[in-house]
Amino acid sequence: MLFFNLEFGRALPDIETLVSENYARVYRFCARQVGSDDAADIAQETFVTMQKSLKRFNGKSSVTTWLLGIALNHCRNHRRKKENLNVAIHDWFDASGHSPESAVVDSVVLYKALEKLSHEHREVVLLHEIEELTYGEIAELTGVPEGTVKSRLHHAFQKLRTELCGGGA
Amino acid sequence: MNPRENLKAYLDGELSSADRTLMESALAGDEHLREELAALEQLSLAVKAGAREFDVCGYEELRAKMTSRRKLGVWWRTFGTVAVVGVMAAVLFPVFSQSRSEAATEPMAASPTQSKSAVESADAAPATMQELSKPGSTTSERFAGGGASGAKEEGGAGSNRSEASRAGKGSAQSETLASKAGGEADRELKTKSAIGGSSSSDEEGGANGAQTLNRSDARPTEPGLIPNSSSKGTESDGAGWSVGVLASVFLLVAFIAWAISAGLRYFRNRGGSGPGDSSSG
Repeated sequence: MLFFNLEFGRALPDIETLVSENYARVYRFCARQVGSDDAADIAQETFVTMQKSLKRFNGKSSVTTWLLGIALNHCRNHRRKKENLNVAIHDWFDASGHSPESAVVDSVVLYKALEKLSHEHREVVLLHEIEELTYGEIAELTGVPEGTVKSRLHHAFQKLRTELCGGGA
Repeated sequence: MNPRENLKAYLDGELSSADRTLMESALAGDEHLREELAALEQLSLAVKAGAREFDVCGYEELRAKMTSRRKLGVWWRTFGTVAVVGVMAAVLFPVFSQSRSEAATEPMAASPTQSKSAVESADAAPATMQELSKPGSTTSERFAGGGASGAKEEGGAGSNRSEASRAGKGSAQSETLASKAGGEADRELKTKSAIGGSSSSDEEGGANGAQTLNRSDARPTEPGLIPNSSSKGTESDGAGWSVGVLASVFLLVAFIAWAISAGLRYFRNRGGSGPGDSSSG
C-alpha cells in the first residue's frame, strides 16, 4: 500500500512499511548516539514524529536520511537534557572486537584516538564510517556544507593516523 | 590543491570525475601518496570493524503506540469537523431564524397607516356585522356601502341606495379619501347623522363603509387575531433563540477545546522535530 503525498505528487510507502523497513536502522543509530538504555525511547519518538510530520516531507532526500535526521535531533535533545553533549565512544565502538583489521590497527589504541577527537570530528566519523552516510547526507543531517563535511573527515583521519603512529601502531 | 586533502574523499568515492582524474595521475607518480591511501583505507576498515552491534528492541511497543495514535487522530479529526459544522450551524441558525421572523412581521409592522387602518376596521366591524345580520339587506347593499347603510339606520333620513352606491364607488376610487376618513369619518358620521344627515355625510359614511369593506377583504375580521399571532411568533422566536444560544455556547466551548488541543499538539510536534527541519526534506 502506498501513501500518496498530495503536496509533492509523490507516492511514499505507508507508515507501517516505513516503520518495519527502518526501525532497526534508526534504533542502532540512536543506540550509538545515546546508548542502548534510551535508544528504544528515542527511536519510538522518532517514528511518532515521523507519523505527525509525514505530510511535510518534501522528498529532497531519502526517507531514511530524513528519519535519521529526526533521530539525530531527538538524540541531541536527549543529550542536552542529560547535560552530556558528546557521544560516548563506547556506545558505538567496541575495542574488544577481533577482526582482520585489528591485526593491523590496535582497537584499544584506535578507541583512545577516537576519544581524543573533537565532538564534530567524532560525529562525522560515526555518521560516515559506521552509519555509512554519504557526504551530502551528513551535510543535510548536520546542517553544514558538504565541503565542511569533507574537510572534517579529512582532518579527523589525519588526527587518528597521528595518534596511531604516535602510539606505536 | 594539495592532493592529500582529497585522499579520503577519493577513497570514499566522493570526488568529481575531474578531481578523480587528477588524483589518479597524482597517485601514479607519487609512491608516498599511495602508502598514505593504503593507511587510510586500513584505518577506515578498522573503524568500521569496531562498530558495535545492538539487539533491536521496542518495535512492538512502537507499533502499538502508533496504532493508538492513529485512532486518536481519527477521533480528533471527526470531533473537530463536527464541532466546526456545529458552531457554524449554531451561529447561522439564530440569524436565519431572526431574518425569517422579521420577514413574517414586516408587512404588519412596516406601515403604520395599515396598522391604524386595521384597528379602525376592527372598530368598524361591529356596525358591519349588525348590517350583515339585518334581515332584508342585500349583498349589493353590504358591499356597496355597509357604512352608508349603518349611517342610514343611525341617521334615519336623507340617504338612499344610489347615494350610498355613489359614495361607495367614490371611496373605492379614492383610497386617500378612505384613509383620511378613518375613525374621524366614523365619528363625524355619527355626529352629522344625529343632526339630520346629508348626502355628504352619506358619502363620508360610504367611504367609511368602503374602507371597512376593503380592510375586511384584506384580512379576516376576527378581533385580536393580529396581536395574538404576533405574540405567538415572538414566543417561538424566543425559544429558537434560546436553543440557538445554548447550542452556540456548547459547541463554541467544544470548538475552543479542540482548537487549543490541536494548537498544543502542533507546537509539541514542532518542538519534537525542531532541528529536524533541516532534514525534513
